[in-house]
Amino acid sequence: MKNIEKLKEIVNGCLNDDRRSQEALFKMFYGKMLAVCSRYISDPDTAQEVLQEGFIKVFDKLEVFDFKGSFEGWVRRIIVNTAIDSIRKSKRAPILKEKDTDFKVDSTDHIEENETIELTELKASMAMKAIEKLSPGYRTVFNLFVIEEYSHKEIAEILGISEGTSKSNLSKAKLNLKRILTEEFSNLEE
Amino acid sequence: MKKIEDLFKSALRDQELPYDESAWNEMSKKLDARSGEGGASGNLKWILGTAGAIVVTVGVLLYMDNNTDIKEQSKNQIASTDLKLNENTDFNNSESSNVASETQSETDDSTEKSNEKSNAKELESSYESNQEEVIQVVECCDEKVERLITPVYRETTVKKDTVVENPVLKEKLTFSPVNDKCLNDVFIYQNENNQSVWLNTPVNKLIEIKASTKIKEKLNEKGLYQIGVLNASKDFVSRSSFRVFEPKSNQLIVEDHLNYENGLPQLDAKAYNEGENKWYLNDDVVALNKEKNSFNLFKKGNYQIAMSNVDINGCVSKSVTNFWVEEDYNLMAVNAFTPSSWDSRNTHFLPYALTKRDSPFKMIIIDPSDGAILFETSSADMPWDGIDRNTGKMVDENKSFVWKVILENPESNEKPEYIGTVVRL
Repeated sequence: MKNIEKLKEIVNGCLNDDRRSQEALFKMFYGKMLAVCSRYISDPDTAQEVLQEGFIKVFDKLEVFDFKGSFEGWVRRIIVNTAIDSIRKSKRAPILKEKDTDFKVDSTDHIEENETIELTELKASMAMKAIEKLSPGYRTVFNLFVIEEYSHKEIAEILGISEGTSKSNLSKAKLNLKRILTEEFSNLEE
Repeated sequence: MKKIEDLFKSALRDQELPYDESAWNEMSKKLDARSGEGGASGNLKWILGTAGAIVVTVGVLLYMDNNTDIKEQSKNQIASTDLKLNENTDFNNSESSNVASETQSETDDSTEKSNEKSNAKELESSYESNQEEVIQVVECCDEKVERLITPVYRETTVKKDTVVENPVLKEKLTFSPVNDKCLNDVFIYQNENNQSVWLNTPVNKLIEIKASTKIKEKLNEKGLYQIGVLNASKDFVSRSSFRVFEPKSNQLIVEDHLNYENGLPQLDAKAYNEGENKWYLNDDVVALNKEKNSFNLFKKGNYQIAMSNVDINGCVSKSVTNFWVEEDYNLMAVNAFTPSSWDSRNTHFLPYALTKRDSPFKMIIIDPSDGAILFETSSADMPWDGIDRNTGKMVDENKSFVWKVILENPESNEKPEYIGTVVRL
């Protein structure tokens, strides 16, 4: 309860444009939200910029948050949306279009729902390293489905692709991750 | 063997990167720059914008002066169309600046401003258009509170069959932002507009919210709910959205027996979930934010054990179970002892719980026949050996004695005094 009261106090300060409160809120969620950005955007500088952009939106929208749900979940959603917008706007990597090969559904695609691997635990750093190696399209779908727990229908709406494409990309992302991890571990063994 | 998604989810879901001290400086600069935009440079933009509007207005007036008949006729047409759409529509042309487009991303301010400029140019030609009433929903700036609806005018003077989206008339629609919800929550929404808006459920069921009315809807589906309007083709266009989450798995495991390991009648329970827990004993909150909890159940009877969990999405779920306690707790005291026994465990008397509990106490042994106190101790290392301290002799065999224990610091829901009887065999 104390944490909630403290958070309310900080949010109230932010609503009054109090810079110290803004700093406190920024520090409070920096680590987790930078991790979110970094999962979508490989370049560290761009991830930082997206994080800052996301926080500006958080500060702008604070007045609509009524503390009925999880504040962290709310912030997280804004940051995820900002990261996706950033990818979508990127001219160098217009990856989130149906026509993009990343999202094309191949009729020969084998959609495996339960891809497994001989591992019981994975370090966050190793997981990040593997995710970074995915193409932006696969990475985005994988992150949205697995980490953020969006449904394929929601992913389809957010990314402007079909549900089938979302499923196919998830399956390919999992296959690629399995391959990447297997290679990483065989390298370690050598 | 583990599923790939489970492996990554457990590794990354709560990942936190270290704080970089320089990060706030950069953030702070951005915030400064942003407040600056609203200050001097913002005012400058406003002044320039106003000046531009005056120039355009003067130009239009001069032009209209030369073409009064045609323009007046056209303007009247526009005005009458507007009234049909909405009596409250205003004619502030400088605000009629959004291009009808469909994008779910938030539009850059710069994009909006360049659109404003191009639309201002198109504005004048629209006076000459033969307008066809099509309601086109302007989509920009996801989650903004105020939205615009702009009719599209088909240019009949242009030979090519192109649609020119000229925002001459506009109607402000208000979509109150809605926070994410949980499954089975009741969703209450007030439509503050003078026309219907629609709620689109995750299964694409459209629910009409009529003008200036409120709806109460139980949220039976998890996923994305959207509030929006129907466009000219009667297709739903989202304006505001929220997600409905299913409470995450919340499992409560309660042992089927009391655990007297610490000399207390403890019932151990464990929660398998994520988030914040609240533990209840017979509807009273007894603990917060613990993965495990032990309940001290001192009296015989039925107990209701419950644990409510608020998950990462703010969804609450509660698990409840009942537990029956067979008998009152009485410090685990035996009812007889044998000072002459070969078994050293039977030669002295002290309620067993006092040897396990780290709790100061005082015990007295009373002769029920005359009320005399035969023995007194405050140490678990000094149990009663059957000797009457008044006479220095062993008490009679097969006689029952009363023991009384007073606890200095009883547990929160425990009585401070226990009484029982013990027979010297």
